[in-house]
Amino acid sequence: MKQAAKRLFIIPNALFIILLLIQLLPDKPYRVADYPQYTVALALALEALLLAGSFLLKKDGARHVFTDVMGVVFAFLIFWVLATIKLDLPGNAKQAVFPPPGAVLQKYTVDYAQTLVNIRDSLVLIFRGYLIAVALAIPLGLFLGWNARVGAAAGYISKFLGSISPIVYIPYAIVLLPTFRAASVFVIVVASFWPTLASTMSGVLNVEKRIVDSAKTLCVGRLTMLFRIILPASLPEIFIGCNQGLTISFILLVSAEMIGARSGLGYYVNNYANFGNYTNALAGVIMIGITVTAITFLFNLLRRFLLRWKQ
Amino acid sequence: MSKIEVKNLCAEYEDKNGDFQALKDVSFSVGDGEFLSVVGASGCGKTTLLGVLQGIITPSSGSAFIDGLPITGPGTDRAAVFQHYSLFPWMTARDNVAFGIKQAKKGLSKRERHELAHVFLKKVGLSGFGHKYPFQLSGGMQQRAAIARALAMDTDILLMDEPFGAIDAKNRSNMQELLLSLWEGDGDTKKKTVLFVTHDIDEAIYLSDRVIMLGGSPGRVAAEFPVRFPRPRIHSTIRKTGEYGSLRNKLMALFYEENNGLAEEEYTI
Repeated sequence: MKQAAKRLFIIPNALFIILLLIQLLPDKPYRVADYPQYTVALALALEALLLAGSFLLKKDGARHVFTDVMGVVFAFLIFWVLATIKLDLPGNAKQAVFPPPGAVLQKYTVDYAQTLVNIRDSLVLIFRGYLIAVALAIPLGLFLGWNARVGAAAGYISKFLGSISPIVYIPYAIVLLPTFRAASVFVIVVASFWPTLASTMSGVLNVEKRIVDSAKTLCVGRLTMLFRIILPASLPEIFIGCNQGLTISFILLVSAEMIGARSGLGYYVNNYANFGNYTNALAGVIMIGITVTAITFLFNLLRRFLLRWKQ
Repeated sequence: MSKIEVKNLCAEYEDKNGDFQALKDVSFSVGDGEFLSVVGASGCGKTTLLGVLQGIITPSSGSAFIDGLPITGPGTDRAAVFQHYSLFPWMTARDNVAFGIKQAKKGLSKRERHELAHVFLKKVGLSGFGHKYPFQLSGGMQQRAAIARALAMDTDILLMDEPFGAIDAKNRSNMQELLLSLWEGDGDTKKKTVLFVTHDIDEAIYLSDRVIMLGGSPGRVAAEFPVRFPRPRIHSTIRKTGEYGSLRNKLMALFYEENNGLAEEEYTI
């Protein structure tokens, strides 16, 4: 009983109630139509998630992180509602640059098909570019790291080339390659190639010598040594580069889409912003955040699975 | 003919202070089916000697032979167990053993390798632990798995570099008994020729047919002692005998005499 009370009387739950109560305040006159019912629906859904999490998560640490995050989400929503429609903040009411959450949420309910198409288009580009880069960089990194002499030279060259921001290739790629999508894939390949290559080479160089010796005494062939010994041994470090590559890819893709695309999440935001429709633009911004977070989450699951042999 | 023959072996290794001569003019031989221990303090070249026999260190002069043929590189006629990192951390115990089998015995299907791996894991008392990764096993269990892999490869020669060096005293004596019972061979394996490197004199006496003392820096063979206790040996019984005491005293005295300079060097750094 006491345990349940301890899990119920927490600040995030108080914030949830505050979020509901402030809906009762009168609205300020506003150019964009608000749909407070969507804000309330979101709050209820989040609260259900919060309650489920605070009773189902067994480990204190994980539960605290979860409830803290939910608390921040509620606090942000309260601030968002107050700042956009309940208080008269100078400037905003006239320009409608910041629509209230209900208005943004309503866009998802009418626009979800278009949003999904844009997410899909962005993800297809990311995965093509990223997979090409990883498929090139890991074998090359293994080879260069394992052959000390070529590796040393390659290390300097890749440091130089990797230090050039891939953004500078965007104009060239758009001019040189036939389609915008090919140009985007090219830029993503370049962006994720260097960090993956660098971390693979460094991973190979840091493989415990005793593991290599142990493999040598087992008479492993060249390919077995590279792919069954060196590759898994350097995998923890390879993942660091892959993670960097993925993050950079998303940043670049969205930037590239804002410049020249006809679809994708970056295009969606830029297109609506150009027409002064900040409600849809903001919906796109939030969707970018959710998509990237979801992909990062899946990436971490994959990493944890492939590195399940690590302590 | 002896199984292993080492003739006038000199070896160097490179460290951050430049080249360091590890072994000087080392000669000895190991008979077929013999259990030979090499003792000596750290830094006397024991591991370098084993590296030469494993084929991962090239001697600067002299040579080592197996069945009369010079060693030119690693071979699947030898299996090795190290103090650390014999197992690959990303493979389960079973996969580690199966990997060794795959390297040593061509032509077995994956299923046959896995079945054989289970047989050998059982021999070392690890049945039921095949699906565990090395980090989920205790130090002793990891070494059992490494021994299982070495045995499963069914080689003539077993090269062991302080395999029980990181295991607590109680488990160590269990492991020693296990090793001796497996060395003798059974229906699945033949009797091995073992070269066992250790700095533990009691361990060397208990296990071996013969003990070689390496001493000095660079290391050379300082002395050689046959150990004549009948087998199977029982720790508690042989320790009570006067013969054990006198052999141990002789080895100890020599150990300190030979490694004096070395020890001082180590402590004055």
